[in-house]
Amino acid sequence: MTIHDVPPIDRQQTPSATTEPHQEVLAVARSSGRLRGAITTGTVLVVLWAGFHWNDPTSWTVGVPMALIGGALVLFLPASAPLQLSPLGMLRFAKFAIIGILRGAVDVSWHSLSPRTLQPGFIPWRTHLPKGGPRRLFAVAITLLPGTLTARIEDDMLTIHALDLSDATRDALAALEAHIAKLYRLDHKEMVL
Amino acid sequence: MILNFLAFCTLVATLAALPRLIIGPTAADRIIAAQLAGTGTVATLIVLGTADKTPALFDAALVFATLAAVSGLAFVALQRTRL
Amino acid sequence: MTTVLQVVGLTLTTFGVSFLLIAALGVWRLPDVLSRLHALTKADSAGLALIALGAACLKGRPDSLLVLGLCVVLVALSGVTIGHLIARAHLSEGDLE
Repeated sequence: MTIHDVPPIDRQQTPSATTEPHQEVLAVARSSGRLRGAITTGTVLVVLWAGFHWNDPTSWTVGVPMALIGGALVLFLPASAPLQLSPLGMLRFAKFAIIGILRGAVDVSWHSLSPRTLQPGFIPWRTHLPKGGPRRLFAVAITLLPGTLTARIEDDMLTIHALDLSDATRDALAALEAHIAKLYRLDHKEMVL
Repeated sequence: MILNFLAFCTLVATLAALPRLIIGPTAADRIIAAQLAGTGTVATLIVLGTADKTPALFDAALVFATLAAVSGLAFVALQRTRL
Repeated sequence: MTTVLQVVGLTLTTFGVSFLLIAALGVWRLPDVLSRLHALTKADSAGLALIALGAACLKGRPDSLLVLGLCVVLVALSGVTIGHLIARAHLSEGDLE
């Protein structure tokens, strides 16, 4: 009964229509996911503390308990699937995100200077990205990229507020979705699941 | 010299958002103004920190960034219970 | 080398400050709440990121990099979260104005 028995997408969904042993596997996978999240958070906190107070060893009397508390708090949050990111994909996504954020800022500045050109409205968008990390990243990236803002997330339906309702916005959203799928190494077969 | 002027500009940007905080008209406008003012404060402290060569101001900026994040979220949460 | 860094840092800071000023202007000039949210989430986060990058170029001390980076990440994440929450509240409650 290892985590590898479970397909990556099922790992965090509610096991409503699955059989008994499958549920057991899911429960184990979920608790180990929580533990992993707690350890990761604790490590990040320790590293941050080391970065801030590297020249003050006595500060660890506060830092270690804080890192432990922070890690323990993560146990209360829903578990997330382990990251399967490709390093090259991360670099490519970082480049895409930096350019996108700058373009977004320029775009909204342009609109601020001439508000008459605005045609704002809502775009419904059904995403193929799995729940959890990828979908969350998609929502955050939509908000940071030019002219779009995530207004509502209901399962796989996103309601997006856009400053420009043309096809260009839809193309940009599709491109972003493909970028994130590539970043998480999701092929098309997994995505339609 | 240039940095001092830039710090002044960020201060202007911070103060420009404040009237919206008072006149609204909607609660959402006030939250936006508060968040903008928070970002402006952080930016002002960072620019001043580089202008005066006092990195301690960066730590103050970090405190303001944390405060802005928490207060903004609390503001929205409060708003949702009241609506 | 130091002069190059200084010029780059000053340029980045100037761009960042202009984004912040335009975001403040956008709060006054954009017609509705959701459009103003765009100014908050994009121009503001990008402006602060550029200012922090410029400050990092001008100071060039490794221990201030961590502080500046954390500032940017915190403000960007809180901006995005608040933007989403306001938009959602706005959508579910209808027009608040």
